[in-house]
Amino acid sequence: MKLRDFGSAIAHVNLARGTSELRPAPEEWVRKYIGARGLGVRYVLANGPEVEPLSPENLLCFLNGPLTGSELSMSGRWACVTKSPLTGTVTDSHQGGWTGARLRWAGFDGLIFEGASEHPVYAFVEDGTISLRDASEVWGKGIHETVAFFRERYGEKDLSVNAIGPAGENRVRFAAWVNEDDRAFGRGGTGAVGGVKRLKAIVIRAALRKSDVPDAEDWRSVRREVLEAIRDEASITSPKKGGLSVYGTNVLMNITNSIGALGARNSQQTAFGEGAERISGEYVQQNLLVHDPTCHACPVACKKEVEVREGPWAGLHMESVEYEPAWSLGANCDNDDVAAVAKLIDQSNDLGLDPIELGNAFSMWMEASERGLVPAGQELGWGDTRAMVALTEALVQRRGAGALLAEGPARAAAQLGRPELAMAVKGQAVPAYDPRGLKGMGLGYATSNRGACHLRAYVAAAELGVVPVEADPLEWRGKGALVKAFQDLHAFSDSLDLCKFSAFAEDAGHYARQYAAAMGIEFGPEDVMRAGERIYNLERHFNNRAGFGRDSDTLPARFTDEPSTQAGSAGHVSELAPMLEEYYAARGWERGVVPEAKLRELGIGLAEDAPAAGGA
Amino acid sequence: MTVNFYATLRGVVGQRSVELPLPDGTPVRELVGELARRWPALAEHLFDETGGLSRRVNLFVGGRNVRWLDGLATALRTDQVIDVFPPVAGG
Repeated sequence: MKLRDFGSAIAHVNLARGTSELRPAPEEWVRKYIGARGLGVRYVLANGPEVEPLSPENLLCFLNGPLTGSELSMSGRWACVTKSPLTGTVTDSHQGGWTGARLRWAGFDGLIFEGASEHPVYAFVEDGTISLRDASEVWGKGIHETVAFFRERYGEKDLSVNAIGPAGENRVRFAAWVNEDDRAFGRGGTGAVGGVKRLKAIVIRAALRKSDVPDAEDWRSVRREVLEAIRDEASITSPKKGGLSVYGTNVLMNITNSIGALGARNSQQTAFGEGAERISGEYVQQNLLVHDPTCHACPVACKKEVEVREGPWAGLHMESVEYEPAWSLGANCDNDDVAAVAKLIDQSNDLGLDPIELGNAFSMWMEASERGLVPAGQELGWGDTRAMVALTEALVQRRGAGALLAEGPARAAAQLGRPELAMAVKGQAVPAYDPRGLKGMGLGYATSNRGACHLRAYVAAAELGVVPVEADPLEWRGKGALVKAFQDLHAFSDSLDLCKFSAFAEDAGHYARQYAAAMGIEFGPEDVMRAGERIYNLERHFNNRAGFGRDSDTLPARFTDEPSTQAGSAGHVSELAPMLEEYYAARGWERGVVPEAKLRELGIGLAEDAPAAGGA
Repeated sequence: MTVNFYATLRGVVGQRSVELPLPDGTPVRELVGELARRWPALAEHLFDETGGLSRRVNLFVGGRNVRWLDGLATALRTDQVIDVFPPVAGG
């Protein structure tokens, strides 16, 4: 499996005709945009920024990075790239587990789905072939049952299943794809695009293949360097010793609570008091944890598999209780019952929903209910977990309050005539870091190319004192350049496609050496940042052409106008306006638009769009 | 003074919170020294090789990291919440 051949095997699948054609990605695109996220954005841009997301004309790309499926630590990721039905921006989402690796071992670098099938189908991938098969037996089923069905049909050995659930089938705007390990392409509603295409699942059967690299000793050395960095006992990634490995991402619940950056009650408050401890990683580890699953090629094992032993959901066995959904379905909804959080995450995994968006839909509706704004009989009380579970099912079927909430909290709040009640940017709901307590994160939300997102620029690593970059979380000055640097670095690593948590142990130099060793080329840290900047600007250019600019680089007024009242961040708001000016200056943008000169400077040559791009 | 420990530091100390008989005005330097004296296993987490506060710990007083206050000289009050974390981050 020659890693340097990456990009040569992209299957273009026409779902209307039921055909597939293998075409290499344009070499220029692979050189400039690397793979996964960057390459996917280039394909989606070539398809046209004006396309209607919930139409067959939208492109749905599943792409590996050049390192996916290799032995390199934390390389077990792949990307789903499309135009988002939730935001209307370009969006990319990344999934862990084994699916991307198996696609590589099956002989493909990516699958690009065009058009829509008349009947539900699934794609079966094996040994360099892809075929579309009838999915009528699984259409309507949850993802857990769908996985069991395909395991029964094809055997469990070497098998991966990536599927949509009823949420995607019913075009819920924040529907997700979920695989056999409950790892998701979570954000942006990519599952709804699958639903429009009547593409139920991608099933891949492939045994592990070893990487073929130009210089085996160089590759070994690079892999050893990365493993040592991850295993360093001082790193949060250190297996069984670092906080991320021992507690998972939910190790964050108590620290954001401590510093007044944990939104509660639809971000009306910035801390959750003792409730935070009861839904924290520490609590889960002591009371519910049964196993620490991991992804292909990863020693960190940050996933947390739990078993609920008492209460209404006794017997529930699920993974994984992550920080983001524990916040969105927990503190954000005034819910301190971690068993209920586990139940709601499990529902999201099975029905195929983004739990961050789901929790925000609930919290918006709870606040609207409290204010007497929702139709009679559709009220949802703060922390009413049984009602939350019931409403999740109703939402997927578009019944009752679910009919409105299936459109996402931003659209639902707008329909109520109170758009300010949705904590969202560009239509996508905010994640678990309150911008009043972590100001760099707030700027990241406002300038993320896919709507509010904590992963486009994880400056929390600096603001929480994890990486050696001085960044006071309550200081807004300097955040413009900091957010840009993180965005560019992550754009590159998302295109390799490495786990975001690699950034806690590695830097641009590590990424450069890994890419150079895999591809047999010269590549340095400055090339990493340049490629990342190019990818970020490419995405921004798509969004500019789709109608996004300065006016959509916003934060909800709650964050800019309502001071925090909790310890740590008391009295603070997000100073978004001056941070944006700093950021635009660092980017060289004019009112949020990438100028032509910047596109040329970065070598984003759009005149290169050629027939090789799939007719776009 | 009540000091709360989180994540892997709970395992080092053996409990979630501890009470220390220190008065108002005690600087962080003395608090940290007292913690290291009572729990020697904590010392390697608290101090770097120069005797300063290690990067392997983040100490918050009233929700503010002491790095953004007066560092080890930060004066404490008995009514303040003191939280001690190892490095934590995630997604």
